[in-house]
Amino acid sequence: MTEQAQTDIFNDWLANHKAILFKVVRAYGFNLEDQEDLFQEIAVQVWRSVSKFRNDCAVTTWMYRIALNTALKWSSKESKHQVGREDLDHRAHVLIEQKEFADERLEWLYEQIARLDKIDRSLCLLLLDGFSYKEMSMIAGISENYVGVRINRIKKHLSNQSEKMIKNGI
Amino acid sequence: MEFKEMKKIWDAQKGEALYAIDQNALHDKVIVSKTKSARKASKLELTLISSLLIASGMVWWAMIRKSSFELVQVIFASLLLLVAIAIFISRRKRMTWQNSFENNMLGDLEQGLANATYQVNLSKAAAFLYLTVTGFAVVSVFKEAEDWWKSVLVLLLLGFGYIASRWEHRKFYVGQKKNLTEMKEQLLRMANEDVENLYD
Repeated sequence: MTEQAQTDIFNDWLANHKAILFKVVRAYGFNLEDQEDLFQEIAVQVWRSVSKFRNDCAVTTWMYRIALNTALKWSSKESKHQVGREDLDHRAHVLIEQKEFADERLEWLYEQIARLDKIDRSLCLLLLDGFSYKEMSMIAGISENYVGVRINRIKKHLSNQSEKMIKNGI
Repeated sequence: MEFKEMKKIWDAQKGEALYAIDQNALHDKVIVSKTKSARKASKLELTLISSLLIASGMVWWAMIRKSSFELVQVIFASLLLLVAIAIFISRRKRMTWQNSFENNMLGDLEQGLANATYQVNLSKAAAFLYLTVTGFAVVSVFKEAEDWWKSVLVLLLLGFGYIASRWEHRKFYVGQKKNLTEMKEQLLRMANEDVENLYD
């Protein structure tokens, strides 16, 4: 595959499925600086993965897998999550945050996802985007039964958190 | 709020509108940096191997030219050659295992861990090389230096260099490997845990 063909496919994937990358970036990066950094890392990995894609799964599944794996590895690096590493105003940004779509309940949901354990966070994103237990099991490399167990826990946890939020009148 | 309701909120989001992408900046930063990062490990290995071979060759050549084979020099040149061979073998192995991991999170974590282990070993090899060169330099300095303070200064500088390289080794390579190992263990624990007990 030529580099041009690889870049064309990458651009096509990005145009059609960028929402997947944005969701992962928002769930794993806690400030714009980190989100920017993670997005670039994921974009590099997606670009690299184009030549390895064999059409044995949907592009969305493939992109989710690459994005989540990259986010997991990225979050394991100690140098990340340091607010104020570099002044935001003095950097050219790839990502520009769009504020006008803010929904308080969605903000709350992202906040709750971000508080989950790193691996549960992945499962929760996949669940919310409608992936089956089988697909989640394939993406994560853990058994389907165990995915079911974790998902039950995640659902219960999120419901409890929402009850608390409602009780507190938030 | 029930999970179904959360799902509705989730589905209603316009995910693609969370951010806007500056395509030119993306091209500049991502595509260009990708090409660089893909070649980085390979370049480091090739640089190390060629430097070691050149250094070893120069020492051998000097010994042959002078027909003088001092034990220290022979050991030094042989060590350099051995480290070069070791790096070459591990490079071949790395190329073989790069694409042998499963296409899932566990497989990718294993690949990440293998890469981290490789970097740790490469860093160890570099430290070994540094110590070898240091040892050789210390012997030469003490043999030839006229002022004792010059020898001490060289020793201090070399010692500082070694401490800095060990700090880098622990801070970046070992730390990342430890984090990846923990994450892999967590995923494996999840995969192997007794499912029935988890419902309790």
